[in-house]
Amino acid sequence: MNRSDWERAKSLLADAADLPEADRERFVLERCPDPELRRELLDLLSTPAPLSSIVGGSALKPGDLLGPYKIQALLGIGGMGEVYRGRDSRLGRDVALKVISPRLVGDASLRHRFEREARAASALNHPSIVTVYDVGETDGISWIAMEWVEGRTLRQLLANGPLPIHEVGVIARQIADGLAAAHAKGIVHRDLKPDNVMMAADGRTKILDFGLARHSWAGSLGDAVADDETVAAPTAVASLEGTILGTVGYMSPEQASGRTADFRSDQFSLGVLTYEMLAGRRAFTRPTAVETLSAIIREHPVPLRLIRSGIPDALLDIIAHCLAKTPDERFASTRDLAAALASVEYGTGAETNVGRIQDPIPDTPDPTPTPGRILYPTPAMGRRTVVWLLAIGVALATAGWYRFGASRRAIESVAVLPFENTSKDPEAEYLGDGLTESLIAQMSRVSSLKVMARGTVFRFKGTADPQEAGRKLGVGAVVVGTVARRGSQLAISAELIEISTGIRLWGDKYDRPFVDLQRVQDLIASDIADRLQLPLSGQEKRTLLAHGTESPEAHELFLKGRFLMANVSEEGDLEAARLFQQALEKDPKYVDARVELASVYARSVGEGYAPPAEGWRRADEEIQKAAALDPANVLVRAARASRRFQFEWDWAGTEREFTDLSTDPRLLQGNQFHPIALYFWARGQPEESVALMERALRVDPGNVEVRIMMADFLAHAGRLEDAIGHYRAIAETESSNSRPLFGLAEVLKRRGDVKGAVDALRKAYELSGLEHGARLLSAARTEKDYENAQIAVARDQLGELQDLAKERYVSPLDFGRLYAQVGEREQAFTSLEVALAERSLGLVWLKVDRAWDRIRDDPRFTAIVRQVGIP
Amino acid sequence: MPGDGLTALLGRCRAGTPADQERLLTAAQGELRRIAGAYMRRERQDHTLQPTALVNEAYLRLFKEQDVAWENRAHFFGIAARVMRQILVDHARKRRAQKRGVGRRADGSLSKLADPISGHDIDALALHEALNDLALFDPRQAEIVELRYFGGLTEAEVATIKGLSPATVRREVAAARFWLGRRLQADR
Repeated sequence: MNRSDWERAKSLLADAADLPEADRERFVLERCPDPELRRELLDLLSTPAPLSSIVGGSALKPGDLLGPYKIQALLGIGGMGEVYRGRDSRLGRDVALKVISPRLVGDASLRHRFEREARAASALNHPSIVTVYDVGETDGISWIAMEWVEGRTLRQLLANGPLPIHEVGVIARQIADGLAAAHAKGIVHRDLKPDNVMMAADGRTKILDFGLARHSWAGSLGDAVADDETVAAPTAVASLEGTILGTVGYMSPEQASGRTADFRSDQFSLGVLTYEMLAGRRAFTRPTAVETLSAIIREHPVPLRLIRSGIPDALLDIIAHCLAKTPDERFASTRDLAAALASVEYGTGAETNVGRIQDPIPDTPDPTPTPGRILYPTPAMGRRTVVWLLAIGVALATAGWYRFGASRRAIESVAVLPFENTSKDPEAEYLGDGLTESLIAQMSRVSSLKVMARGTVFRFKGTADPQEAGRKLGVGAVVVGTVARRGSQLAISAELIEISTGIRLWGDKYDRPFVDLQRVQDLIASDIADRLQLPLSGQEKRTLLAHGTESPEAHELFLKGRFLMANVSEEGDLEAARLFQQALEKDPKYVDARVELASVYARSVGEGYAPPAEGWRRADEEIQKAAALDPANVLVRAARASRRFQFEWDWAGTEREFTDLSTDPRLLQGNQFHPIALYFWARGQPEESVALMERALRVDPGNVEVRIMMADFLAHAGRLEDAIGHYRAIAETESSNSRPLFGLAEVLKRRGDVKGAVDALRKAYELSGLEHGARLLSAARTEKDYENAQIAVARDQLGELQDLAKERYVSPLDFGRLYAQVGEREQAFTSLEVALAERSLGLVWLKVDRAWDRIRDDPRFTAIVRQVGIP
Repeated sequence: MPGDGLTALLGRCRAGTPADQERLLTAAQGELRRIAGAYMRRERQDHTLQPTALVNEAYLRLFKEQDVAWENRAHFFGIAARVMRQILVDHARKRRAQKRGVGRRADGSLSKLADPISGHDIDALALHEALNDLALFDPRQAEIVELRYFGGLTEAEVATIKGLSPATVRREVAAARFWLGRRLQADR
C-alpha cells in the first residue's frame, strides 16, 4: 500500500468504525472501487481488534433466557459489559441484568473477581443501595441481577445546575447512610460519582455498583475511561472524548496517587459529590486527567463560600472534613459522618426546599412547608419514563427522561424586561430604563429569587414577545410594563407573566403624580413578591422596600445620571457626574448617588482620561462619605474593596472582604462583581474567577463583558477547548465585537493552530479598523508572521498614543504595554516606573497580562511585581 | 532534586535550543525510570501497568510549581509517552531473555500494558514493534497511538496536546486500531 492508498484506507476505516459491525462490509463494497484496497480493508475490518473499544453486536437478544430471566431489551453498553432489562418469570418482576462483556469473559481472574464482589454486594440490604438479587453464570456468560429502579441519575439531575441546599442535605445523608451500612460490612464502593447515584422516582437516593469497582486504582481508572458520560446507542462505538475528566474527578487523593483506598476514600468522594451539588460545578476539574488527579492530591477546591451563600456552617465543616487530603483527618467511621449530616440544621429563610425531593426517612423533621406557593399541577404518573441506569461504564440508550420534579416547581426566577416608554417624549426614555433597573435592584434583594441582571434583560428591549424572551432567558416568569409621563403625571402599567403557560399571574395600572414614582415601584415589587409567595426573611422584608432617598427630585436626577452611564463616553460621564452631584445637593444622604458618583470617577481612571491621583482622590472622598452614612451597604463595601485592591494593593485585606462579598446576590447584578473575579485572576487563581463568572452568567447570561471575562479566565486556567467554545459563541452573537476574536486568536495559537489564529486575528483587526495589521496577516503563514503583525500593529498604536498624549492625559501603563509588545524594553521600564509612582490602574494585572510577556524575564519586572505585592 | 532542574530545563526549552531539548529528555527519562522502578518493587494486587499512574506520579514530582506553562505540559506528555514506551519495552525484552535463559519467572508486572479502553492487557513489546512499522508510513498516527497507549492520555487530551481536533484524533485512533489489531494478530 502506498502513502495515498493508506490515507484513503484510513478515512474509510474510520468511517467504518462508526458503523455497526454488520454494516461495515457493505459500506466498504460500496465506497471502495479499488479491488486490492477493498480486500485489504475487509481483512483489516474482520480482525477482532485487541486494542478496541469497538463494540460489536450485543451478546444477547430480546427473548433470550439468562438463568430464570428473560431478556427484554438492551439498555446500554460500556467498557466492562452490557446492561439489559430482564423479567423474572417466577416472581413476575422486572430486573436489571448486568452481563460481563464477552470480550473479557476469557479473563478468568477478572470473572472471579466480578462474581466475588457481586456476592459481597448482594449481602447489602439497605434502602439507599440498589439491591443485588442474584449472581450467576449461564453458558459462559456471567451476570448479575439487580433491583429495577425508575428515576434518573444524579448526573442528570445536576445537569440543570446546583440543587437547593436542603435537598443537598437530604441526598448527602441518604448516600452516607448507604455507605455506612456497607462500610460496616467491610465493603467499600471506590467509585462513587454522580453516575452511580440514582435518584429514584419515589424520592429515594440509591447507590449503584457497590463493590463492583475493581480494587486497584489502575482498575478503577480503567473503568473510568470506559465510563462515558455521553449517551450512546447500543450499536454505536463508545465515544471517549473528555470522559476521563468526568470520572477521575471523584477519586480520593490516595486513589489518585495509587495507594490503597479504604472506606475513608468513599467519604472523600461523597465530599466531592456534595460540593458539586451545592456549587453546580466539579470540585476538581482540569484540562487533562493527570492534572485533575494532581489537583485532587495537592489543591483545594474553590471555597464554597465564594460560590454560594446560605450554606449552613455545619454542612461546610462536614464537607471540609470529607475533603481532607489524608484519610486520618476524615471521619473515623462513616456512621459518624451520617450522624453529622443528620444533625445539620437548615435555615427556613432564603433556601427553602421547594419540594423536589421528599425525605422518606420518618425521623427527620420535615422541610419547612411552603404553602401557597405557585405550583404546577402534578401530571399523571404516565408521564414518567421508566428508565434504568448506568452500570459499570454503561452509556444509556434511553432518551426522554422523566424530568425529576419538573412538575411541581414554584417560580424561582424572574426577568424584569425593560419598561416601554409610551410617551411621545424621548427625554422620558430614562424613566423606563430607570424603573426597570430599580425593580431589578429591589427584587434581587430576595435571595431565594433569581433575578436576571440588567446587562442581559436590556438585550430584550422592545421585544414583542415576552414569553419567548422568558423562554430564552430560562426564567419562570417575566415582568413587563409601560411607563409614560404627561407633565407632572405618571402612567405606569405592569404585569407578571408565567412563561410555561403564558398566564398573566398579576397586573396593575397606576396613575399618579410624578413624585410618587418610588411608591409605585414599591407597590409593584411587593405585589410581585406576594404573588410569587416568596419566603422572605425578616431582614429581606425590611430591605425589600428600602430606598436610598425620599426626595423625588434627587431620585429623578439619579435615574438620569444612571441612564447616561449606560454607555461609556467622556462627555456622558462628565454630565452624569454633574447629575449625581445635583442629586446629592437635594439629598446629601443619598448613598446610591454617592456610590455612582464614585464609580464615574473610578471609571475616568479606568478609561484613562483622568490621571489616577485625581480620579482616585475624588472617588475616595465619595466612598468615605457613603461609608460614613451606611457602612454595611454592600455596594459601598464593594467599591471600597475595589479601591483598596486596585489602588492600595492591599491583597490580603481585600481577599477577606471580596470572599465575604462574593456571595451577595445584589452584587451579582452589576459591575461591582467583576473586580472580585479580576482579583483572583490577577493573583493567578483563574479557577476561582471561572467559578465566580459561572455564577454571574446564571443571572446575566447575555452580558458580553461577563462572557468575555469567562472565556479569558478559562484560557488562563489552561482550559483551551472550553475557552475556544466560549469565544466562538460570543463572536457568533456579537459579530461586530473584535474582543472575542483577539482572545480566540491567542488560544488557537497556543493550541498550535496557526492558520486558525491568523484568521481570527485578521478578522479582529478588520473589525477594529486596524487595516495595516489585517493586510499584513493576509499573507501570513507562520507563527512568526503572526507575531510580526502584532508588533507592527502595536507600533502603529504607539504612534497614535504619542499624538494623543500631546492633547490630553494618557496612562503611562498604556505606553508601557505597547513598548513591551514592540520589544522596546528600556522605554517599557521607564513607563512602568512612572505608572508605579502614580499607581496606575492595571498594575495589579502585571502577572497575568500577556502584553508584558516579552519583558517578563527581566529582573526589573520581577521587582515591580513584588512592589505591587502580587502574591 | 532532579525535579527542580527539570522545571528550569523545561522553561528554557520553550526558547528551545537542541542541547536543552536533549538534556531535558535525559533528565525526564531518569526521573520516569526511577518512578517505574519503584512501581515494580511495590507489591501491587494488579499485575498490569497503567501508564497513566506512572505518568501522573512523574508529573506530580516534576511540576511542583503551580503554573506550568501549557507548552511545557504538551512537551512533557510527549516525552513521558516516549520514555514509558522504552521502559516497558526494555523490561519486556529482559523478561523474555530471563524466561529463555533460566526459566525463572520474573515479576511480569511491567510487560503487560492495560488497554485504557477495554482494560484488556496488551503485549507492550508487540505493540512497540507494530508501532515502529506503522511509523514508517504514518508517523503522525504512530505518535498519536504512542500518546494514547504509552502516555495514558485520552483522545481529547491527545487532541489538546497535538493541536488537532478531537474528531481527527478519534479517526486516527480508530483506523490505527484495525491496522495494529491485524498486525498483532499476525504476530501470534
